[in-house]
Amino acid sequence: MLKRPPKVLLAKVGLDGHDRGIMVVSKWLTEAGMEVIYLGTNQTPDTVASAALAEDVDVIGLSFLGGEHLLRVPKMLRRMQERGLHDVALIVGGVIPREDIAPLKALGVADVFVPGTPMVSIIAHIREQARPFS
Amino acid sequence: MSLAEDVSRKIAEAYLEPNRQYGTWSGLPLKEVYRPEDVADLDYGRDLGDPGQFPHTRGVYANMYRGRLWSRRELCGYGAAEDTNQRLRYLIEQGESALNIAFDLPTNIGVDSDHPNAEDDVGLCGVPICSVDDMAIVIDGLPLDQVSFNLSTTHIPILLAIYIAAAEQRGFRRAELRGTILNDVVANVLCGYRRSFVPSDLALRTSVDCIEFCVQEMPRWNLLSVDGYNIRENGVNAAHEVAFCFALAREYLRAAVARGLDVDGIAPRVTFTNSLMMDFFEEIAKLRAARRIWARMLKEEFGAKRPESLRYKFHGHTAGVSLARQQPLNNIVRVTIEAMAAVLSGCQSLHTCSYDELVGLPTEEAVAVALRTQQIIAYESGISAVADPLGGSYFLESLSNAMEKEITRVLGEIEAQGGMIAALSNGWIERLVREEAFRVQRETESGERIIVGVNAFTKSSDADEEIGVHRISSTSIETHMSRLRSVREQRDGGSAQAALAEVRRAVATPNTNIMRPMIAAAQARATLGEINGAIRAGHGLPPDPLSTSCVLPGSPYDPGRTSAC
Repeated sequence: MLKRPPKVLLAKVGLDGHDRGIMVVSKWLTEAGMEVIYLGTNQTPDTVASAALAEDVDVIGLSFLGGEHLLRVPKMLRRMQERGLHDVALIVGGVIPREDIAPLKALGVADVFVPGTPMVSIIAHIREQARPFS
Repeated sequence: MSLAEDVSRKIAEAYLEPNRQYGTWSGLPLKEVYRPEDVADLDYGRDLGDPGQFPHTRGVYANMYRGRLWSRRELCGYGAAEDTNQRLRYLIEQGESALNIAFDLPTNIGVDSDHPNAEDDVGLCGVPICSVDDMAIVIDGLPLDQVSFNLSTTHIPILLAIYIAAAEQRGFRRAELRGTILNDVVANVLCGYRRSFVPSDLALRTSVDCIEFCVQEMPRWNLLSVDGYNIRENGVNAAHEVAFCFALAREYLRAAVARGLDVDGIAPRVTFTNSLMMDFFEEIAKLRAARRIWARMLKEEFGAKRPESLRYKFHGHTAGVSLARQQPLNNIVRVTIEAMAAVLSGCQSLHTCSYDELVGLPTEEAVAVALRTQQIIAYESGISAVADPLGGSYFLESLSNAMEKEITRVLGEIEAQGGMIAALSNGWIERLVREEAFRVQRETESGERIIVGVNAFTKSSDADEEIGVHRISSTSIETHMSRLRSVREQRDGGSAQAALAEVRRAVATPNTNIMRPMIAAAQARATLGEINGAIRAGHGLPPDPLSTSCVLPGSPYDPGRTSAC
């Protein structure tokens, strides 16, 4: 079945402004032929969910540095549920301890990418999340 | 291929493998070997001098570490003020010799922990300081007149005002206090903070107010520490790091001189924070070149006369971005190499990262190893016994010259645009930062840049060994939030409001220093967020730095960003 190029929304939720990682991912996904919307820093689950809905994305990607992922991810998933984004996959990356990966996936996160993950791996995983043409 | 054949092939390849690096990590070419002719033009008196002698290439003090070892100064801050004070005491017990506090994101942005957007960010990347009550607990039991205390924030120095208020409450006089406030507010944007948090004109004004105040009232306090570390973490190279620092320093010094301040009153108290990354000799060459350029710049461009004004003093911070998540114990080796480079470069102070940097804040075990790294260098290696032990190396002097040339070239490019503030405003800096970050990633992805354990010598099963993870307790956050509530409820509201009105008035009035009104407000238990709000209001900005306009904040259309990806 044909797949359209994945449409990915990237953002940083919360006050952390460290965006080097997510900017690099954004660039690499774009070069891989995906449609990427980088919403920027200082976003909230609301602004991300609204944009995801408006842009009809396949994947939402969030980047975390400070250890706040276990607090923020449930809120993001809840907002996605509330806005009807049932088909959209949530992926996260950043400074995330190994012992938090399984709990995050149990909550509903599709993939967790820790620092040092090769870009080709991220690209391949996201391609799997893209929806087929209907 | 059979297993035996595979092993055989592997060892044969490894045995014959040559070095594949022909240049430094920032791209400066390297010869196979260096000879006297490579430094034929070097004049000892003009270009090197002894340590402590202009132009200080060999170090800023004659006896260097025989006079005093560099400060073993680990960055610290998390949870509630109590946690941070406890960790400071632990570090002191482990042999730390100077103190350095990191603040959490809401604090670094100028909002209180109970700001609606601050939820889930409180106490994670540093300690939250909402009022003098919090600061008093952080400094509890510490001899502030005898030890150096760094406040690592690039925001408007409200935290210095709060620190002074807390210290004076404990009986210290402000003139006795030793330490540093980064006060490098223009560079806030390079730390990932949006321009709307502190516009450049407000940044410059508050920085110079702080400089002026410290000159008048705090003779032992370093009033500016230009932050090269965060610049470097963005991805730029060694020469960029120093060039950006000097371009920033020029902005502050020029503004201070324009206000009528004497450069010889300021320069002895200016310091820098520098990153130490993995290209060992490049980092050392970078810092030797920096000392030489700074000494000449202060003398020739700013006309400084005092010998103390010409010294480039720096706090080293080993590069977080050079560390790996995979096989984290390898990071101990990386930090050791970087710490050795810092000491061989003649640093005045040093923070060594912990091996668990890629999973969270340091555990007690990990930060102890980081401190031991410095201690083993100091006490077992002999490196600190001789000032500038690498001086005279044909290679290092040649590389220092090449680095000086490159730093000067980049500085010239920034100057041609009208200086650092201009280069930040027109997007030039951001474009360069992005390009460098992409370049580093490309080199890593292609294998041109080897990171052991990440793209070479990986372990196929289990990406990392089991190491502990430092967690912030929610009880701590509760304690902190409860204290904030008490402050708001129990303080004399009238005094606090009056003091805040005074801050606002001071900001709105030309030629009025904001430091003393800020200290008075801190003493009246006004919160950091309220003080910042008063400053912003006085400057004609919405008091809340996180207030949104009709444009989605952070989007490519947000005036707070210069450019998108």
